[in-house]
Amino acid sequence: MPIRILLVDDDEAFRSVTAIALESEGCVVDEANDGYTALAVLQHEHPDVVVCDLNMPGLDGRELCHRVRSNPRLADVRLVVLSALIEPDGSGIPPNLEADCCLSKQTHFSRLIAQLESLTRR
Amino acid sequence: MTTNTTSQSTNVREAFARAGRFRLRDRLFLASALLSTSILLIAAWVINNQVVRQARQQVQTEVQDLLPVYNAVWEENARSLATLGQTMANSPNVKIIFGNERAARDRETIREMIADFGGDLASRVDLVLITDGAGKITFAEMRGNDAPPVTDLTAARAVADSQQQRQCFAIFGGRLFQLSLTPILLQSGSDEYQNTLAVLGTGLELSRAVAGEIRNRVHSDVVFLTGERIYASSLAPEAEAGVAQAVTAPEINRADPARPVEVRVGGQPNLAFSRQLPGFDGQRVGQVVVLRSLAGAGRLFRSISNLLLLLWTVSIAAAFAFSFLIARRITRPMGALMAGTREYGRGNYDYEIKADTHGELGELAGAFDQMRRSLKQTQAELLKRERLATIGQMAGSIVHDLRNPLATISTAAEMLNRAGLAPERRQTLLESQLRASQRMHEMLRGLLDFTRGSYNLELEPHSLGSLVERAVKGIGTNAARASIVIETDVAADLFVRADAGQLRRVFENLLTNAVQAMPDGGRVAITAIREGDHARIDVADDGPGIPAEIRERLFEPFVSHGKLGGTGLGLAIAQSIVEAHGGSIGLDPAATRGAKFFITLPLDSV
Repeated sequence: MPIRILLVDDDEAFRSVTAIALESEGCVVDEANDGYTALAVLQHEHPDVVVCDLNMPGLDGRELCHRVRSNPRLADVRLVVLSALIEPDGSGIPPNLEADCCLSKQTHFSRLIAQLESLTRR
Repeated sequence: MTTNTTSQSTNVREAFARAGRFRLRDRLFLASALLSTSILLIAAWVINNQVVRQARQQVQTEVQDLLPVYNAVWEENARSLATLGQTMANSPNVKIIFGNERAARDRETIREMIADFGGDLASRVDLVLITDGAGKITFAEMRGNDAPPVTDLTAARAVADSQQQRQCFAIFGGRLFQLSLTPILLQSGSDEYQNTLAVLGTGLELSRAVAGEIRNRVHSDVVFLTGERIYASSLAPEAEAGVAQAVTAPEINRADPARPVEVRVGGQPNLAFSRQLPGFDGQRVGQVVVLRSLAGAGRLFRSISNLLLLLWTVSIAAAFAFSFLIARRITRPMGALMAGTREYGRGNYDYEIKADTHGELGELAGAFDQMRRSLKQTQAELLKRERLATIGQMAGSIVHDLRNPLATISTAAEMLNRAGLAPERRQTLLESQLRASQRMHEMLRGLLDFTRGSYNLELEPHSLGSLVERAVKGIGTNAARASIVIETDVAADLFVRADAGQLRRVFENLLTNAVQAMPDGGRVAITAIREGDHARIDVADDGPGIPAEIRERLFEPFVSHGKLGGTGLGLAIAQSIVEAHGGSIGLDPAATRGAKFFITLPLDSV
């Protein structure tokens, strides 16, 4: 079973590059350009992982994580935050962020893949 | 009615408020004027009580002291009358003339005879009379009145019986006399040894002249009266007319020199006492009222009052001058202090307070200056710290914002490195890389423009409508995707001298902000109108509006909220571009919903 991913980022270029990269690893990728769009997708889709940015217009990543976590129907959806605000050493993670994993955008793409695999294996 | 009352009470309140806003100088003046007035009023009261009372007591003492003088006058007159009477009674001529019935009727003869006695008194004697032994008046010569007013004098009978000279007061023909009755043996008929016992009366009228004489001696006015009738006085005729009621008051009857009473005569205060004028049988015939003027005390008080009034005027003037000087000494440095605080309030910490004064105000001015220097230093430190913080914030923001396109580029590069990638995917990755690097260029250019703070504007006349149109077209795709309708209403005759590229950035920035604020769609309205020699462009959206907490600092760098791939410099750059064009940009605070930005630009005059 391929890993189903909802990729949420307001940076269109980053989103399309990341989508291509994930798909080349065999993932099935849905895209959303902000938190509200993501929530709308989650109404009828049930991905394994939501990969989202933190700083987005409208509903930001932190609030998106909170809304997904508050929804019992989406309890098994893993949350990965991928943001430029987070440093490679893990600093800069906002407090009370309800995510399963936080990664810096500087992180090598292979590390993101490794994290996704370890999260979905559980 | 109600309105009227309300406005009146408002007026009263305003008046009180105004009264409470008295200047320092007025307050000082009022206080010192009040002080000197009260001191002088107290002084006047004390002087009136002490000095005038003392003066009055002195007058009272004088009244008591003048009694012996007064008595002496009467006694002197009585003695003179008695002497004259005795002399006449001893004179053979008098005895013969009055004894001869015919001669006694010849007034001319008698007048000559009296005149023969010569001397001061003889000329002054007002009444000469002869009674027989039974007291029947046989002859009377009264100055200024021929007819004998009375026929009987009972007192004369007693004198004839006792053969003793007697003194008394008596009334004849409505005139009051001091009278001396002396027994005399008249030689009547041809027989020169036929003697008849008779009584000779010599009298002095208590006239105005006598009153004047007494006044000269005792320095007090005298009034002769019986009951309510005044016979004579030393008062001026007009004062005499009004004095009757005052001097006939019952308390004056009882007043002796030890207990004088105060009466007003002709408006002037007097101390008065009365003495009886006894008749022959000791019965009261009349009385004399002695009036000692208190005008001296009043005059003293008046002169002191005048002096006090002068002192009051001088002290009020002095209080005015004093308060003026003090106020100047205080208000001028205070004015300097206030001007200083106003300048500091405006943030001008280079203003030095020039309060050339010493004492507390000088110290205060010194303290102000110290505060100024400390504020200036603090401000400088704050500025430095703020600048450092801004630089830090800016650096952080730039780092984060560059990471997004960098991540795009590096991930794409990593993917491009892999074999077996479909050509269209390879194409997408390359395009994404290109877009990301373009965005980085844009960011860096904006940053550079902003930090340089100046723009090399290429000014050319442009139709505002076309500039707006181009900006709308540029943002069009993004807007359409977010279901946002952009409406423009720009007057056709608006032309501005502008750098089209730079101004387009401003419009695009505002439109991008509006579009990003409404992810669920909405409407953006751009309107432009002429306002004098400026064009005013409004950009209004239906979104949630600008949060109150950042409205004030909206145009500062890195304040913008929920930015989409921005540097946090968008509005700051927009502001500097508009200002470089001689215009202004701001957030319309009157907007009721959404956000409404306005831009003004000078119109091209050609």
